[in-house]
Amino acid sequence: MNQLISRREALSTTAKVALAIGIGAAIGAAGIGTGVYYATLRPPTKPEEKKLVVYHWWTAGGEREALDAVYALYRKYNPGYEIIDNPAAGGGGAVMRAAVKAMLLAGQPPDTCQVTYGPGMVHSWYVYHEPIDDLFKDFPVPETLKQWAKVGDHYWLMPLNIHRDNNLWYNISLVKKIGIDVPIKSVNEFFEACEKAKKAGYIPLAFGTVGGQRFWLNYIFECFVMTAPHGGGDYLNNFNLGKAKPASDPAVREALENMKILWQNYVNPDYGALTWDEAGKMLMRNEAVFNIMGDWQKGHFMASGWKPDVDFGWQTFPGTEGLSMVHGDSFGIIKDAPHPTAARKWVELLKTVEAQEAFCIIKGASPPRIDVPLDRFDPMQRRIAESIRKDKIVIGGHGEVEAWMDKGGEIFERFVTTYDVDATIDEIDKAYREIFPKPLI
Amino acid sequence: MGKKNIPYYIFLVPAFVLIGIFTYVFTGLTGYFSLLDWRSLGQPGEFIGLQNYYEFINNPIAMKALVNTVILSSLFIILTTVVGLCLAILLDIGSKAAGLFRTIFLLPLSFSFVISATMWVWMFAPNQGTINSLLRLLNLDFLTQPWITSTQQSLLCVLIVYIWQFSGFATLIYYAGIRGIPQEQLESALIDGATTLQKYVHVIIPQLKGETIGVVTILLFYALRVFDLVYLLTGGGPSLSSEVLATYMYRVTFNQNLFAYGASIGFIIFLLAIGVMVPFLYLTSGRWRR
Repeated sequence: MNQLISRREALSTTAKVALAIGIGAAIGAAGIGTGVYYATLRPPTKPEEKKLVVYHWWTAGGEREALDAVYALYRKYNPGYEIIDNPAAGGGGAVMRAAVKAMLLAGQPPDTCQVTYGPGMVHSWYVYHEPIDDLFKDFPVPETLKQWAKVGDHYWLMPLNIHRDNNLWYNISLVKKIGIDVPIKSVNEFFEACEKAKKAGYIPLAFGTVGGQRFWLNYIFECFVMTAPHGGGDYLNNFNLGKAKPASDPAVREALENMKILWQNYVNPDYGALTWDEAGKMLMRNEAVFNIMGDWQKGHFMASGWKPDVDFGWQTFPGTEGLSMVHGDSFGIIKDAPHPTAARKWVELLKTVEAQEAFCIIKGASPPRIDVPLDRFDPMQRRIAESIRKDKIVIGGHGEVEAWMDKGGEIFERFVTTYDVDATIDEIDKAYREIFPKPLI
Repeated sequence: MGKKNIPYYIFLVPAFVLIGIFTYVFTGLTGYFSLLDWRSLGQPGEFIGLQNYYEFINNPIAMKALVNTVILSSLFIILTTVVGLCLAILLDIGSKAAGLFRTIFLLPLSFSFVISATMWVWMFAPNQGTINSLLRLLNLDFLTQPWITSTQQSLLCVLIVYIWQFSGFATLIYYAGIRGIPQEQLESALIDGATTLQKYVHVIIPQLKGETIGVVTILLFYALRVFDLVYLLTGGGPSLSSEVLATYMYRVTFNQNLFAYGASIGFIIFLLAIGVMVPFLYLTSGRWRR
């Protein structure tokens, strides 16, 4: 009896094992078959799908509509093409960059992604792009801006828009009420104006760095570097290209000293709990007089119902006349993009006057091309765009090397709590030498 | 392992293969990358041994992130467990409205971290924030705090939000445990003259060992990888006062492109998790049902 049961058990077990092996073999065969098909049998000339996979971080009011306007042009000129839109908001692009880096490292690239346009970012990102040298022939943009796209002998990224970073925004009614004369011409005059605002019971400068957006502090440092007696536009360019010696350059100390005065006396104490746009809202609520931010703050003010030259005013950061610290946004063709033809059509479109005009008017940015007519831009944006066309172009803001943007923000965030100039210079020097083992250019 | 069990092992193979590849192989790869010199987008650099780990040990920011992680994790586990137990007891005492309060306590767990963080940033904002505004409304201005903008308070703020988010979960587990205790035991205690306090201290709480192990284990899993709320609430700031290992790893990897150094931090978090979880699970295994 026992033997009989054992046989049954044995038969049953054998059947189960056979079934398992059979299923496993079937799955394995299917897997191998699929692999062989894709590896060898798939025709290499399979037509490319009419799709464009785009990654970007434009989700806020104004910028979303601006990108949609360019998408509309893409669809108009490339009928049948489908755009796979992948917005990843946050952190001034840091969230999107992290996502795309993970995809690139995994060998799953999109067709194109937003890359901040500046020598620093271009040097970080060009390795994953195809050269687009032919598109830079007959491309009327200021020569300095054009050179930013170049690493080695090739051009890699196509700029779509340019932002000016060294701006001072102000509440017109408060400036009049307090009796501050604008435009303010120097850092000393700016501090006097801040003192007046403070005595009148207002917060002189509204700022925000919440959620890890400490990199805005780099903008402040750079504004003060440009105005430092031993600084200036050329010095800042050299600094952001890795050619400076922070430990011994007096401009770094001078900039930190001014930053210390500003932070100790004139900045809203809750800057660490506000975003840049919430800081802008402090001007709109008549709580603060000034704000230092890129020209997207103008877009934010206007989207919130504030009128340029009526409710808010713009001037270059005091003491930086003739200098436009800028960065832009660009796209390229990513290496091994699944749809390279679609990506090429995208980059070609971004080069055109039509795309740059459509995008920049809505976004509140300046077109890189100097032949884009400015008559459809609002008067303030026109002044900003004209300043970029005639000023000396300076590398700054998000155009810095990515690692320095993060590390600098970390150092300056600590500085505005410790105010220890010597220790901060040491930290800058150490980080700078690690990030720039050699100059970028 | 008898022949009888062979089919079962065969059916386990797919799970082993998937977990093996997607957990252990990639963990191993992370360990390997942490031994390279990889400092930019592009291909990994040369083998540099334990240099990245040496850098970690000698980096004051890394050490601060490590200390913050240990402080945050320890307090989070202890306080969330205590708060959860207290709330479960309160639910048990006032059981008429237990259903309503259970829902209220559990609600934060259903919020995504993004929503929670945004909400708490608004509440913690020193000028316009709800907490300080309420204090001012009640003429308690002297109690207003700088909250997340202060280097002294930012980590505390993160801790408060984590406790708020997870205490409902602990409450639910404990409440289920309390309700599962046989009624006869509680009645016997009452007949013996036990007060309510004595009933909980001597009868109920000693029987919640299994629940405590369950709660602590799950909280440990979360505690060792705290990232979301810290990143969204403070970004590790101000002045790195709330930087934890996970936010530091994210920042150096994806913002500074130090991929190998980031991998070494990831591997250190992994080793920490192993160092805490394995002895804990070993010591508690088998005692679950005792």
